[in-house]
Amino acid sequence: MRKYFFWMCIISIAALVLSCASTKAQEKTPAAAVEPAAAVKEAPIEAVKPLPKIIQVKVWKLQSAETAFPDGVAIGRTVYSYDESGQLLKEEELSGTNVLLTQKLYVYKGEGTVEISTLNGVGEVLGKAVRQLKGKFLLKESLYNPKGELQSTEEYSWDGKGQKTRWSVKTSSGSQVSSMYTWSNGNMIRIVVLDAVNNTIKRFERVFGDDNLLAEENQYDTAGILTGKIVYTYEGKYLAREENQNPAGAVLSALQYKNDAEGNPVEIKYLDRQGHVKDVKTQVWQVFTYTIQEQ
Amino acid sequence: MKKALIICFALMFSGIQAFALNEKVVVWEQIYQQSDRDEQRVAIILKIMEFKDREFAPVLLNALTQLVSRRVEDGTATERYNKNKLAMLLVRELGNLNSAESADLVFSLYEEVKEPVLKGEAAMALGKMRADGFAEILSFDLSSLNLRADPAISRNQEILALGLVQSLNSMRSILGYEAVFLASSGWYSNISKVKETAKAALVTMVDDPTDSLLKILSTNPSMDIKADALEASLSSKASAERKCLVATEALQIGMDRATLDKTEAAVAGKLRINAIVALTGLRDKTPGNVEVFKNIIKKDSKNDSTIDETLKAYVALGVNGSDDAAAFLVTRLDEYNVFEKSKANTLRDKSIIRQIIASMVLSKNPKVKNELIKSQFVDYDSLVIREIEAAIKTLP
Repeated sequence: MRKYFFWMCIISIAALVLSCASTKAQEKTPAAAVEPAAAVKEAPIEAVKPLPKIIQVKVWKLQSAETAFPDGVAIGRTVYSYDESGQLLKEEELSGTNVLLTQKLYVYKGEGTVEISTLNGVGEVLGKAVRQLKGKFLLKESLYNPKGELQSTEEYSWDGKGQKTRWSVKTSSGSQVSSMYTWSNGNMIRIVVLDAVNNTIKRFERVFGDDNLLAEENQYDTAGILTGKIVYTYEGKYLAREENQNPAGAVLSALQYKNDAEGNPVEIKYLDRQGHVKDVKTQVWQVFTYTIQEQ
Repeated sequence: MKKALIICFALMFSGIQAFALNEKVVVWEQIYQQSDRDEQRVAIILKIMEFKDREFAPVLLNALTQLVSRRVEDGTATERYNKNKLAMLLVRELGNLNSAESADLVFSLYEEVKEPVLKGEAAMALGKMRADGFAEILSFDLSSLNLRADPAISRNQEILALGLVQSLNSMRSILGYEAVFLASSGWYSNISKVKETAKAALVTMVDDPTDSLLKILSTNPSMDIKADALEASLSSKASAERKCLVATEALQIGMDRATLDKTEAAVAGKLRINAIVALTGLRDKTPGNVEVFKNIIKKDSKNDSTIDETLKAYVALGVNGSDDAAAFLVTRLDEYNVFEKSKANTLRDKSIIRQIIASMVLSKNPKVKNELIKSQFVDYDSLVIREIEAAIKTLP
């Protein structure tokens, strides 16, 4: 059981770290942000102890993401490096001509603490972040300046079903913004962004289709007036297109996804309001397979 | 005044875009607006950069507008340092997000600041935005840097030059080609990566750099640069016909360069050889080039220093295959036939004779056949005779 719990933690941390570095598409697919480890389920308690069972879990992680103009000229590239167990160690951002611009180094301190240092191309530290996780749940993320002085803190709350209920960001000088989340049948249906004295800044109403996939996210201002929306289209169960629209439904911009057989977005085209492709992001994924022995 | 207008426009634009944003944008925009120190703003921007989300572009543009209005290079050393770092991150991310709406403001920052890393970053961002309206100015700046190193600030010059090369490469503007070309063979140190980056850029930044290269060939006094121009043309995506124009010009320049300086003469010779090889490889059939090849052969100094060039000129004549080229090959073989009768041909001459025969085959021109038939009866050694016989069989 301990061993099982240990592996579950490892996979969960990796999945959470990935979800932070991964694409918006994944984040916006409602199930993807918190569920990579959901394939691993507790064995039911039975009177007779079952035989040990081997389960293989596949987790896909970004290996590289290259953005290029439609004519193929590279704009930039991000390369991710992992250890053998799939823990993210390094994230390098390179220019289109392969000059290192920034890098993020991940250090795992144990007990769910991850330290992330951001360095510029010549190795100067630009800032640090410390993430605190409990199992698969991110509880806190603090941002520091290179001198180690706290700049801001994010805190997350989760309910018993593993659903995010609150996210707050507070700066060291006392400003605060928070988001409250409402769930229904496992779907996050409402986000309310509040200021430090709990006044609503924005409200997002999320509409789900019959297939339980997020179909629309409508944004309302403080007076409750619709100010814009994001409309999602799927191919099967995978996100295929995401349109930013104004309240009248005119498209402001769009993202068009091409997914591999596993549902990982391998090509993301950004289109402007005229529908012209502005750039193309190509993503390469790496699979990590975890073998878990149920006790 | 112009800067003020740009700032007003940028503020207007970032306001207009305040719809269809996602939750993260709303939250981090609020936090950024409420932060009161640049160090805090840097931490927040680093966080925003993690999302790689285009919806943040108006927030970043607004942040940059506010920063520029506070003048990045004013204040104490610490204030300047923090403002500079913040500006660099904002500019980089606006570039990464391909935010063309930010181009005017980023360019005004480029013009305003002196710090080379930030200036280079601003240049790079303009490239990532494909803001090619600024290509001419950036190209002019790179050309100025290419001219000479100022020892006191050469490292700074290199940092900016690298940013400009990357920018012009991303823009794919022909206006930037000449400056990038000259940077590829400029004074820059290897550690700066300017030359290496510029060389790589030359292959991709424009499909047909022929016009720029012809200009460089005719105006730049350095023979090394001319040789590089030929090389750049050959590795470009231009058509064979356009590449031939550059090679022909390079060959003519190599011929016209009269000098007593041995080193320069050697460089001119190398340029001619490279041009001939290029024309041969491009299967050039321009009738006008025959005269140049003939002149090269006529200048043969009958020693080892010119044999390579002479042989290559014969190859080029064969590939050219025009009636003029064929007539010249016939005349030359006839002359060697006469010498052979008196056993006056040297070993060096024999290698030329064999090349003439091979070039006659290459020419596929029936006008050479009679001369080959006549040559069978000259008292050449068996190797040459076999080659003549084989050549006759290939010709119509």
